[in-house]
Amino acid sequence: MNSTVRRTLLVGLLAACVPDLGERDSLITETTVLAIRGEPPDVEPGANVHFDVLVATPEGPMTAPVARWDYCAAAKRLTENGSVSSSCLFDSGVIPVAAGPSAIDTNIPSNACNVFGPRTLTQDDRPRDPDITGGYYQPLRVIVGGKVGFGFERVACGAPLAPADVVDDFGKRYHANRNPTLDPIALATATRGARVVLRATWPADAAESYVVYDIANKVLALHRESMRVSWFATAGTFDADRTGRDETETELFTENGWTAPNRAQNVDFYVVLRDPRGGTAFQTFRTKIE
Amino acid sequence: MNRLAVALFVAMTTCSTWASAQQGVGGQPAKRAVTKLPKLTRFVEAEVPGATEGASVVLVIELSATGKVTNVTVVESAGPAFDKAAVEAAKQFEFEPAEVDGKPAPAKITYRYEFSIKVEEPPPAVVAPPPPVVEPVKPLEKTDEVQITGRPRERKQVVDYSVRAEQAKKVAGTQGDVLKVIQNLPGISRPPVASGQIVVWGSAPKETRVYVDGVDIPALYHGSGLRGTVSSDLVASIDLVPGAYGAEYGRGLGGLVRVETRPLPRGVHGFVAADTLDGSAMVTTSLGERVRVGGAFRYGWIDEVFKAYPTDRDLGDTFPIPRYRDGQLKATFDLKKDVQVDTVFLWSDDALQRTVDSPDPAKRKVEATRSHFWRVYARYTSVSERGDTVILTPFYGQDGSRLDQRFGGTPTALTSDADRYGLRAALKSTASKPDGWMPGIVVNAGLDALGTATTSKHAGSLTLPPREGDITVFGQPPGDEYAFDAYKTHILNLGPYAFADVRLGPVLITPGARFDMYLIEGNKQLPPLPTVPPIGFSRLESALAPRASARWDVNPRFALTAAYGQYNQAPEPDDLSSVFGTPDLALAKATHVTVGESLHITDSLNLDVVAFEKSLSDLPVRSRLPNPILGRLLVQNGEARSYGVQFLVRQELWHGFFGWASYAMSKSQRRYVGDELWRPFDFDQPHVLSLVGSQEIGPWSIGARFRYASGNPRTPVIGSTYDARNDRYDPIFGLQNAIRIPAFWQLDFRIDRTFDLGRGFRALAFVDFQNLTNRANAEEIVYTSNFARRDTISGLPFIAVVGGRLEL
Repeated sequence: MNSTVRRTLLVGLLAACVPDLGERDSLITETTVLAIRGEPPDVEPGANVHFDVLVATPEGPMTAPVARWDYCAAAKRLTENGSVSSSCLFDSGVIPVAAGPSAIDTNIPSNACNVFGPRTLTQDDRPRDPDITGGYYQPLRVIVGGKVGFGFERVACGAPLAPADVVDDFGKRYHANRNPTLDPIALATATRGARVVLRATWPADAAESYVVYDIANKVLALHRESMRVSWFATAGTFDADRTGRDETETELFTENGWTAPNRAQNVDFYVVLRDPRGGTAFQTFRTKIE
Repeated sequence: MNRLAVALFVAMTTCSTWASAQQGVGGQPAKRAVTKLPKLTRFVEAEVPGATEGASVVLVIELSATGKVTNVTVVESAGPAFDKAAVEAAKQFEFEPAEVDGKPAPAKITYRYEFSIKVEEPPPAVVAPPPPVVEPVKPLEKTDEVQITGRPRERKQVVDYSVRAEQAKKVAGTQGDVLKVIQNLPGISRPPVASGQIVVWGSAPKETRVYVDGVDIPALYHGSGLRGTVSSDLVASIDLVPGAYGAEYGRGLGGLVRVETRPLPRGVHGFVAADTLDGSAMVTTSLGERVRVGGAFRYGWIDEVFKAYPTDRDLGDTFPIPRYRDGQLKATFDLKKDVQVDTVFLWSDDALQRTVDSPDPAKRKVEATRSHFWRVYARYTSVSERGDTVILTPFYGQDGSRLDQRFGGTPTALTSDADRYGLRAALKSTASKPDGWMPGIVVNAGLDALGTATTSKHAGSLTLPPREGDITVFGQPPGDEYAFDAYKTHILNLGPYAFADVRLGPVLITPGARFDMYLIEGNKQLPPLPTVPPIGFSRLESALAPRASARWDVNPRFALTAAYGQYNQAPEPDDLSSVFGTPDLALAKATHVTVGESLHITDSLNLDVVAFEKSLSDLPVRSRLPNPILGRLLVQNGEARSYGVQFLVRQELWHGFFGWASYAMSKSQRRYVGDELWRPFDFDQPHVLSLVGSQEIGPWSIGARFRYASGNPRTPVIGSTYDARNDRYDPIFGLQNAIRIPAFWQLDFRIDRTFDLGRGFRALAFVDFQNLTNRANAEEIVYTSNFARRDTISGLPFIAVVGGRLEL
């Protein structure tokens, strides 16, 4: 029995069924919001935070994007999969912050922990649950060129709902998140059609350790931040759209292959590094294809 | 030594006798007065060359109004050789016809054809082997009437589609799996690929109950939907009751699937079988005159096939196929005449462990799932000489499920272990027989009890597991919130019931009622606080569920039917979590109404039409509040309605052919109480058509199946927003369930051949071609990561499942 027949008889069940929609996240073909960064990324409600945004266009980074900044006013339903309430898509559901600047300094709403965190108006209300890192986040809507993105500022809402000794321990061991940093990446030139390997590296203290209350075992658990890099370019093809290291991998870099386009041109790269607690770093560079 | 098998004519049981007493799909028993039973006037002996022991074959013999045998089917096998001989002989029988209301009428009788060995003196031999132990020849027992003895079958419901195992095995596209045949019956929606979900008349999968010999089991199919959880060779018949069933069943808002296990044959029998999906074996034997035992086992290996033939983008990544196993043991004790105890052990296990690697740590998928159940029950059946029946079925078992999954940033762990125990007790007694203006009354009463003690752990997103009505899109990661709960629940339902079959001439009325009492207990009323010990809860819920049905036999070939019933269902244990659900959930309720007709176009060709209307209320749905109060993540604000009409034309076995055409046109909708608009039910399929046919030609059998089904509704994505923290796009949804997956249609074909190998052995080889036209049926809608474009995932391409079995 030849192999074709055998495959039909035995493994037709396994044949390709998922369509290839042909679009890669890493290829910039239109104006796209790639990152929204808060500095610092982890604050108390009411604290001042500097926000900036990374916007890519097919022609290169948008240096001074005209952006509209608004805080979401309401939390999403607990049982929605998305990140924000659908009300935050409408102007009636946001608190205006600024219109026009590419970066802003603003105070986090003082009621962030009441709306998006575990603080409730009455004892009968259900406190919101944290994410897997134990965090709560104030959503920030950014609109650039009609594109809507949401940044999330981690807000410190106090100790977890835990026994007193755990709360004490948590207070001593928890450190607010810091934005990671990316070591400079450069690729001045590349040959048409050539494949090059790009490496994103970060310093040893970028992947921080942090404690989180393990609600199943009712103890504090120590975790190490995973690091995730998103790769974008205005031409060429990356091997993967995103690469990274999970919390068990201690390497301080991640690599990605990129195949240059087959014509001479300039290619703009965008590299965004994220930790799981809302910390962000990004960098752009230009490469000449010869 | 020449052994002559001599048949003993012992007609033993029967269903009913009349034109409308067909047992097949859509059959609905008429119960008009039988004034004369069929009488055997010509008996034919059967011979089985080489037989060394006695055997017994139970046949269903269908008779025309002239007493001619029109069809013979085996319902209790004694092996291929005996079966064949018995059928051939029975086809030559002649009867005086039965009479209904004084007029000759078609009839169907159940008939036990017993073989014993007639021994002639062995020829002299130099070294003579010890002679076999044989029975003396018994004289033919002439019986003048059909005795009403033996094991009673489940009562037919007003809307009840039944398929016998012998036919179900021949249906194309089922790979010989008897349980999969119900997917071709009217009222049932086509399940998605690799899904064993049963969706009936607008009810969610968890609202339909599955019973084996009256014992509740959690799943009819293994997790892949590729196989049933009970060996086909242990199944006598399977019934689908889509709704409006009688008072003996409850605890569910949807339909019923009833599987009846097959009586074990006498003698030693068995098989080994293998095909692309799995391997299986079964053996049965007699232990003396009164005890028969048997066991079956199946082991799925399709996952190994996956590994042996990896593809770059295979279906397994999208619809993972777990490894499945199941086994059954059965022992039958004939305590005395008309008293029998069947003890049965059922076991099923599905397991899956897989890792999908990715350079992106957020897209690495680690998944381990396991689901299993087992049941052990004893079914005591006693039938008195006057036909009164007592059935007692105590049972115990365990269900378990595990899910450990890490996909995206939020891991999920779901663990549930349940002890299930119960008792089904049923008494049927004839209070009076029809006499003049006096109605015939048969009284039924019983108790249906089920207890479920569940220990659960749930960690992960609040949006897992998904629920009907969730607005989501295929592949969307669950919400980020992470919660945990470990809790125990205990739900005990006692359902005493009673109903009566009251016959008034051509009209049969069945009024009845069921009183469901629920004890619902749990160990956590509210989410636990660090300084406050958990407080449990315990409460009683009750509901009176009136049921009624009526059938009017307008003439011997045409009948009108109607049925009404109220139903209730306790909350699922998973819904009673104080963190992920609501401990205070009460009963959900439903009302079913049907009207229909049954027309016997010929003795073997039937047309059934049923119109139905269902309404459901107090359904648990997710709270719409961003900050609900403690322990109220679910609210009983869901309501549903479903209505439609379905048609079934069925040809019973006739000149080697059987088949049916079914078509259901329906609409199923749900909404949150107070919403202005109804939305389509997540599994709503307005049009479902099935055409099934099979023809025997000598040792060959060929069959085909065509299916058409509307696609399930989906909520369109009309835009997206970028989540900069998780580096992903979130969909912006349009009107809920406003679009549909494209319609499905598929043609399947099956061919098999039987080889008689002599000495009681028989081999069967088959090829089941699925999706003969290789149509790329859409199974799901998928989007690009930024939701700018959408496409569909296609289902199974052309497949040839090849298999064979060796039988004794």
